[in-house]
Amino acid sequence: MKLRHPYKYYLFLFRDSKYYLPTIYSTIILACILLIVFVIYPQIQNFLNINAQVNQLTSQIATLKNNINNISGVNDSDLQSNFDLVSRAVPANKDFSGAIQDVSSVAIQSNVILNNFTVVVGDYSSTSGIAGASSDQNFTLNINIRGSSSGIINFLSKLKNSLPLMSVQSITISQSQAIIALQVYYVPYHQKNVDLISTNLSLNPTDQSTLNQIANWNTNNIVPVVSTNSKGNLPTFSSN
Amino acid sequence: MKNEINFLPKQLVRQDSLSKSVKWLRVVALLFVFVVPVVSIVIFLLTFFSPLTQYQITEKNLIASSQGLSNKIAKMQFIIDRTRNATKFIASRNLYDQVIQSIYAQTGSDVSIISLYIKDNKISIFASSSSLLSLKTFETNLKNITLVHLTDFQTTSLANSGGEGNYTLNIMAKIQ
Repeated sequence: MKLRHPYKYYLFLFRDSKYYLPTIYSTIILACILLIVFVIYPQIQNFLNINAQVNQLTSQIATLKNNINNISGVNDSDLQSNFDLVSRAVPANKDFSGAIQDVSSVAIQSNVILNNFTVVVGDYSSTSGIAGASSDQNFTLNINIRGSSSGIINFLSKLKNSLPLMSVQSITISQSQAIIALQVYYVPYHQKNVDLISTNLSLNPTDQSTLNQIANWNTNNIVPVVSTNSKGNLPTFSSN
Repeated sequence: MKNEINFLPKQLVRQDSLSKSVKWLRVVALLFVFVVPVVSIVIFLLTFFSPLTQYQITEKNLIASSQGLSNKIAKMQFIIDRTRNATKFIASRNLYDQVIQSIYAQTGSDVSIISLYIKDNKISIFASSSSLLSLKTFETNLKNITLVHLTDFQTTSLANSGGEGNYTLNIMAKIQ
């Protein structure tokens, strides 16, 4: 007699076999392993990825909020004053007139006579705006002053505390006369996008101290003095 | 030989070990059957309820609100950049005024500095006096200046110029 469904015969045979249960269990384990490899592992990876993104976003949002709070909290006039102050301390271009004006002003205050000066103009094919160019530059201002030794020393001390920022490169003193080579700093302005998400837009304590120092130096100069708070410090940019 | 010691028939022994294996397989299979879906569901829920989208929206809103502050932001960035440059410049400046001040402070009433030259942290002093002892004291005092550190002293000349009682001293040193 021919069976109607021969596979049933094999099925019953297999069910009765001692390998039936081990095969079923093995199949389940294999299926689960496949699920782990092809479903759960990618799920875990995706979850970790999302978690990393969340952490990054949390930090970015914190920085962004902090920056917005800082910026919103800064008084417009204080900001403008600080802007003018740093522009004067470190100009964006070769500010010959500013430097000469400062030197002559310091000379008057120190009771020395500014005999003459020479500006070493340098290369006018400035690298300003060129990506990768040296960001800070300087030009040389040679001056000749006449006065007593104490007057010359006083002149050098006052010059160090004046704006724009200068540095004495060389000095020759003889017979109540000093020939000084001054290095005047400037930094060309490079337009750049401000990244509020990753950059903390506030001054660190060292820079804040520099800003206060510059503001004090500026008191003898032309630009109006930056308003200070009760402690004599400039308004800080940090919100907390 | 060893098989002869076992009193159970071979088939029974094999069946017993097989049933043990089946038990283990069942345990493992059950464990997998429960653990895999649970883990999968948990991870799905964690992913589904992740605050990522909400954070992305918050960030977008914050960026949008910062657009109105662009002028202030640009100024602030400018101030920060310039102040950093200023800090760098101030730190790198020479202290020549202090050097000169210290040197002049060492000249007694009998010593006068005829000329002084400073460049690249090298200093050359040309002093004169009517007394050799005063010049020697001046030279010694220079070596003991504390405000700035002068090193590598070289006395290039000590001469009697312009007749009796007029001595000149030429010293070179490095500023550190």
